[in-house]
Amino acid sequence: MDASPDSPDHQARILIVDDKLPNRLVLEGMLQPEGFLLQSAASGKEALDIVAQQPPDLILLDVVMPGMDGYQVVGAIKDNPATKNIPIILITALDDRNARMLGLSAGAEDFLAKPVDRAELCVRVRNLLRLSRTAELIESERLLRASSEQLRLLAAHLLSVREEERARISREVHDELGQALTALKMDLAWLEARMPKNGEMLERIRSTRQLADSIIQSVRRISTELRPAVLDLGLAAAVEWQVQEFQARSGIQCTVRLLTREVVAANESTAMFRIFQETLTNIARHAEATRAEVVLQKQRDRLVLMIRDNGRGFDQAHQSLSKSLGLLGMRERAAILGGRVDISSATGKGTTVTAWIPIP
Amino acid sequence: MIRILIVDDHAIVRRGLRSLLSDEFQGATFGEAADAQQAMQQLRDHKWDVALLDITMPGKSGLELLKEVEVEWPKLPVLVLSGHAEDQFAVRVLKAGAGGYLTKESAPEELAKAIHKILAGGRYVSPALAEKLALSVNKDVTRTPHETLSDREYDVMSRIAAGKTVTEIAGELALSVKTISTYRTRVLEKLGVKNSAEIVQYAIRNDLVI
Repeated sequence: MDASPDSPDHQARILIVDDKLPNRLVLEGMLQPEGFLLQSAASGKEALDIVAQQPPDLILLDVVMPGMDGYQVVGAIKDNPATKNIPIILITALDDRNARMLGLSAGAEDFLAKPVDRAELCVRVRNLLRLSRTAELIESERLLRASSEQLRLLAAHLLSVREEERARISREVHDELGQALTALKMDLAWLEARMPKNGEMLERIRSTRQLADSIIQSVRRISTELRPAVLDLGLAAAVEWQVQEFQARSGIQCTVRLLTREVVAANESTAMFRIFQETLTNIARHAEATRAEVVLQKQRDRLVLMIRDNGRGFDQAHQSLSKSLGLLGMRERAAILGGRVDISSATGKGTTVTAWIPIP
Repeated sequence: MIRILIVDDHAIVRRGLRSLLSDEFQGATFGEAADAQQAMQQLRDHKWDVALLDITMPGKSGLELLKEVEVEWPKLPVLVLSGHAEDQFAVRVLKAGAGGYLTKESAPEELAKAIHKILAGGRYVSPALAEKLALSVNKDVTRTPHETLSDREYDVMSRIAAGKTVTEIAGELALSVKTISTYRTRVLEKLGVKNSAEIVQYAIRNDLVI
């Protein structure tokens, strides 16, 4: 893969097929000084055996041979998906138009007339090798593209599965655990009101109630961390809440502008919200900012979220792996929905993250 | 005799509330509903003095129900009780017309206090929430010029920065050309620039172009 089509260190393997030894020797003699690895076969059948065992990079093939002739060999090689890309040069008699037509329709790539001219042979061999390596590169690039597309689909699928799972667990934790604990606490309050005003029992009930309280807080925190219920009220509501929470936690002063109440599908608002959270996390961890601005806006057919901080910024070319993976994750989330995340930053200049997704 | 309607999809929570409230409001009549539909039925069939409303329920959410109740029974005091932290829902719930917002595990004394207050026509927020609301009023730090723009002015500014004309922006925002021109004039003043081209420059310099 790393050798370029013309790279001299890649030794091309060439198979020479001719029933007559002197012809084979002539061709070998011409190609030897060019540095190719040469192999010979004295019949069509032998040629096919070699091709099956170790496919060469190019085949020089005589048309007229006893038993299997050149056309049949071409047909057999071109019919096999594993070998059909090996370029074949047919050696025909001079001016034999008929033979050329037959060879062409069988699938051969090129022709050489006997007696073979050394210079012409070498040029044609080199050209064909270059073409076929370019074709190989194109093919492998296509495969690479296809596999990265598959990976992207897989990543998208995993993301959505994860979000669904988070939403479900968050709801279950909140509903099942949270409500049962709330009822428990109400009963404790009811009991407390019926206890003698001082005594060990009352103390015990009070401390149990405090314990229930702290469990309720934990359950609520876990449920919110998994997925804040406020997202059900829309992206704008969730952004507004998250900013307040962020401001209180980080001490970074935020200005929020929610210029649209555009309602988007749940997976879209979730994606934008996660990008937003990731951005805020980056600001808190790396930016050393004192202020941030958040704008949610509808522009043309896009829902745009912009987050800007006045922090130290970063050099986009040199970032840690974990940070660049985080940014990649944000970009992927937007890309899945046909949108994009742009980050503009420079050392000392703050950072602006603009995320958008198309809306109908 | 006070009549209290409790709307919550969890039977254990309804029972808990009922037993707590019967201590404070002796002889009160209680009604229960497990979802928005049952709640509407109860509201149509009987007269209530106050409704306690859960915010997250299967089917129609409490917030939607609240909006409907506000339309049909605007005088009915509604106290929203939620399992969610106040900071996520309280302001929205109050804006939608609720008389108060409490988390479900609030102390019974607070619950009673809240009900008394909204029955008297007032509004109730917990001390913790009141403090949070007070804090969220922005401390006035030195702001960049564009941060002093109102939301509408900012919107107009960023559209000018995106190369739109006043007429185009008027179309996009469904406002008159005259109104947009007024916003533009204020944007020019606040940013301290002379014309639209300088607005564009300002936006580029400050990374505001989308």
